[in-house]
Amino acid sequence: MTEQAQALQKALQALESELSQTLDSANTIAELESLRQNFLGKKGKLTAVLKGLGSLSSEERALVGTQANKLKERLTASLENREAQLKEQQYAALAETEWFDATVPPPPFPAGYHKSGAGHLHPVTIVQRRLEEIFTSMGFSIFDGPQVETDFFNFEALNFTPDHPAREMQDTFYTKQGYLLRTHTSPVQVRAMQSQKPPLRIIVPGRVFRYEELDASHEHTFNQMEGMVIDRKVSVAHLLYLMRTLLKEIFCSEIEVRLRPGYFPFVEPGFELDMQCLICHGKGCQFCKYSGWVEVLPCGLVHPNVLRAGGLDPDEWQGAAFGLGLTRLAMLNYKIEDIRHLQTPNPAFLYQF
Amino acid sequence: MRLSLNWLNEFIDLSDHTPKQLAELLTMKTCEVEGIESFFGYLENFPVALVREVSRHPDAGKLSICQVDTGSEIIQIVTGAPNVMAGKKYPLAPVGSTLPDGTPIKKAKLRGVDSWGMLCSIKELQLVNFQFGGDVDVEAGLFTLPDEFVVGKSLRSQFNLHDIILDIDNKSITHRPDLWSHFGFARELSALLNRPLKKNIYDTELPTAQHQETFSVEIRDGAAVYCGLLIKGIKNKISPLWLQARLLAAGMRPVNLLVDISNYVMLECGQPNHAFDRALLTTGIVVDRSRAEEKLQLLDGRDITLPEGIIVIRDGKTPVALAGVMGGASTEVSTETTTVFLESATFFRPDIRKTIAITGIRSEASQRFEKGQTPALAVVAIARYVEILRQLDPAIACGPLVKEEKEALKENLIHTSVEYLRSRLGMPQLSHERIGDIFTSLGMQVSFEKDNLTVKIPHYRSYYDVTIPEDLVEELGRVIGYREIQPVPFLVPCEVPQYQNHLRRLEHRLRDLMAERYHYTEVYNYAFCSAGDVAADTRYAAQAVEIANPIQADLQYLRVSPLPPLLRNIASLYKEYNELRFFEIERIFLPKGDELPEERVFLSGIELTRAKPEEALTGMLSMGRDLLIRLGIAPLDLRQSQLQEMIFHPGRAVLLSAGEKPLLRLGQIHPRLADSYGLLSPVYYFETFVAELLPDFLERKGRYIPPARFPASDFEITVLADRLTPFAKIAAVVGEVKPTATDEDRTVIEEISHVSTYEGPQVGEGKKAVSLRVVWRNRARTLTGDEIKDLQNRLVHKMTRAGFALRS
Repeated sequence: MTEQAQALQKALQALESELSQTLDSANTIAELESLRQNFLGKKGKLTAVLKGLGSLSSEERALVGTQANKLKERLTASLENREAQLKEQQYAALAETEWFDATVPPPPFPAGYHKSGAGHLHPVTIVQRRLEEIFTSMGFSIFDGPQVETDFFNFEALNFTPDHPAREMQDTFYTKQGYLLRTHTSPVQVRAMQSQKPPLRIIVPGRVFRYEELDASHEHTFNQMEGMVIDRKVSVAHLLYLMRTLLKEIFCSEIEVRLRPGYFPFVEPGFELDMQCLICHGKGCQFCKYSGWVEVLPCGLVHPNVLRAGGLDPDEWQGAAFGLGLTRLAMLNYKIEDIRHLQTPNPAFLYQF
Repeated sequence: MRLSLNWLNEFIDLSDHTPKQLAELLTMKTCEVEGIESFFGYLENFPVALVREVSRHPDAGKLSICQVDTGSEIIQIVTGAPNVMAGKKYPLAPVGSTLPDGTPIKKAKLRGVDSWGMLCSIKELQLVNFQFGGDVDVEAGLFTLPDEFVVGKSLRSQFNLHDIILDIDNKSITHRPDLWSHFGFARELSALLNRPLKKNIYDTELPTAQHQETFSVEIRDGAAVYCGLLIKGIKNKISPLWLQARLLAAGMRPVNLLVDISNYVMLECGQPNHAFDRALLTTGIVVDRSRAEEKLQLLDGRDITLPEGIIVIRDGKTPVALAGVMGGASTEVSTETTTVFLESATFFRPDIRKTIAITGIRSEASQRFEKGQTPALAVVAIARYVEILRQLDPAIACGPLVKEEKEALKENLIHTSVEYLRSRLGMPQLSHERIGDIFTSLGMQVSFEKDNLTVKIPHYRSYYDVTIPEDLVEELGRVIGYREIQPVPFLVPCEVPQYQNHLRRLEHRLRDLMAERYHYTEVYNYAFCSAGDVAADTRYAAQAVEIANPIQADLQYLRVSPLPPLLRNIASLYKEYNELRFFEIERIFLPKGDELPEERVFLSGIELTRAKPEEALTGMLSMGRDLLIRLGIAPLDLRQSQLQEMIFHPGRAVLLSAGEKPLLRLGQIHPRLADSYGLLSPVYYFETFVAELLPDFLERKGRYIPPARFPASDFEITVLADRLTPFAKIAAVVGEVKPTATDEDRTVIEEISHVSTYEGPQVGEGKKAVSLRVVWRNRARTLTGDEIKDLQNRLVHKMTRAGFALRS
């Protein structure tokens, strides 16, 4: 090894011992920072030493260079250690150094400092509340249910066969204990039947989960609203009237609707309720895929097996149920183009509602 | 599923309906039609052209100059294809046309020679899925057309590809096993349009045996029926184009004649079936459950190791096919095949669903069996297969049908009443005749006994389909058309009070207060969180509910704290904003052993502000008190105390309680925690659980005190104390605040409030000067000057005695 290289190595060693001696005397974060600048900064001691590398042979340069890098890592680590130590000392002292007397009664609200700008409600909340108002005005109760559910309430009680594909892991989130995240608000149909005396009129707005990759139109987390009526006589004609009234109230105008067959295990007969496209008024446009109709409400008459699961006698009680995509409705209402905005707290989005 | 209109027309005359009308009819009465497509419609734009002369391009060895007869004129086209020959016919893409890939065809000059269009290859026309046979080579260059094709006519007409496809949404027919075929849809349309079928596949005659050779069949488990037949004298080759076109129209690719006919029969009548090469079978067919670790190579080349208990087809002991899902490679038919064993069997829906769930393998066959096919179709498929094969090759010879049947055919009987059907639909006028006609058109047999009726359901709708009276309501309703139903309002019963969701009322009240009064903006965060989030706040649970199949590794747990997502919300924005206030009302999920987790609804809020910490804390504290008071908690019950919790700054957190009941926590987030979420500025946070606020919200216990008639007397005093002495300790010296509601002659302390605190050089190191205001009142009379003096003197004395020196 050349003398030059040896000299460089010595200089590096000297740096290390110098730092370890001065480290403990740095008692504040600011002191530590200046130490870091002094040793590792652009104009620091290490950079100065490394200037000598240029005159070495390529082999020696590689050798000493590696040593220098390792040294830099060690120095950085010990600086960080010391910083963590100092921070912990600071934290430990906070109770005294930054003591706020919790027992001082504050002045009445609004407090002394200025708070600019009113807050905003989430668009889904706004739509949900509007619907809750419509339905409570028609004598419906608002029900809630757990978001972590049993297979029984989410599937079995709703007449899904044990081998129904919706139960697969690619469609539904499961917990390690074997529970699942409800895939719809429908489990609350059965929970409400079990806990309340019929006749019943309920809605269930709430958060549901499906195993879906996230993109502009797919979310694994979204909001739905279930509705159910249990009475002695319930017919398709009743359901149709209710759905028409609902849409009229939501959109504040007479809405053309059509009922067509649709299949869901927990209703029989089951329907898809379409409303005339609000954008093209039925002429056909990109939004309604040129059909003139938009699918909005899956619905139907409650399947007798579901009534039984709820502890009701299908010979005495009948029911109608519907589901409404709250998230979808909010997006439709405000013409929100990307579902991901709803769960991303961006003021540029939220402050518009 | 894709439906060919030509194919449907073989079974029912639909010539008076446009595709759009049919789609509309099916959508309103049966299932969802996702689209209408013209089958190879673009081929209309490419006529057959005859190359009259070919000459070399003078400047380019690889280019040929062709004089092309289009049927109406002779044009010049330059092509680079090596296989162009005078006297042959090729597809022409004329100037102005567009290739299927979107390339527009324009007049061009190739190395100085004009070219008016383009002669096309199979690839350019996207016809690679067809097998043309003969000399046609996909790779050779131009597509050499058969000599009999007429020059000037479109390729679509010459290949006879005129067809329209209806694209059916599969999800909308999952409950209708009878609709998974062209015949099934024809039968459905015959009911909807009330017109007869032209042809019924069930009438197909079984061939008479021309030889007596059979192959043994045994069902040990897993099949309702198994039919088989040996066909000899086979020459396997490519299928005629019309057959290939049918398969392609329905979305399947041609393979070879024997396989194509299988698929054709399946698409036509819904019954999956399979041709084994007889020469590759040895012992005899056994339908049975698999044993663990058995191996099978499938037709698509996949090697699978079978789990225990799924249904397989064995040749003797060896598994040779995954029953109802896919055939095996070892017995696959090839061009060498001369004798096939044709299988057509019915497997059970639960078994097939199990196979799909375990192996993840899906196919056209499994798609049908997982819906539940009628066993009556098994033999029909054999008859149709032989019929079609014989039509193409009369030389074949069939053996006798071998059939093992384990179950009788099901035909459900449903009892119901006219009254029931009318009332469920809401059509009180519906007549017996109309009900009877509709059920009959659907293949059901109806017998009336006054108002009661018994409906016998045909076998093809008896499996998992029409089983209860409610199903009949649906059948009736959809065939009539729901348009005919007049909406009727519910008559509302009020015999039992409806449930009132007070929690929801409170949640909305909180939302309004947060947004309108305290200027916080509502955010929604996921129920999911990361392991780091769980560790960051273990105040409510040390462990979180774990998701077995998380969509991302950092979304593996359910939230046990309202805080981490809010910290992340702020961390992503704090560099852009000086001030942010977010609140959230949602649930945390606290594990409870084997039970469902406890879901606790919280209200939490986070604030980023550039105000001084004391101001920010005081502001949040005054908001917290205001919130609780507005929800009905009596101001006098409110207690403030120092809070020590892992998420909070050890000196800057407050617990607000009503009496002994802790209600709301607030304070600055511990800098260590904020730091770990990348937040270098102070952030403030509060949190409360909605259910705990509910009792006070409902009872609104806030005590009423009548307005006083006599004036109060107030007094301000400033004392010196150690810096860390809580204000409450000083206030306690004054006495207890106990306003009275009665006009008794008693002097009480009505209020003790904080005026100011001063720390600085004038009071000395480690000390502070605290000013407080005390209000006395006697509700029966005005206090005299002497009494007031006395109260003040006594207060000063008490302070001094307690060690709080007076400061003037």
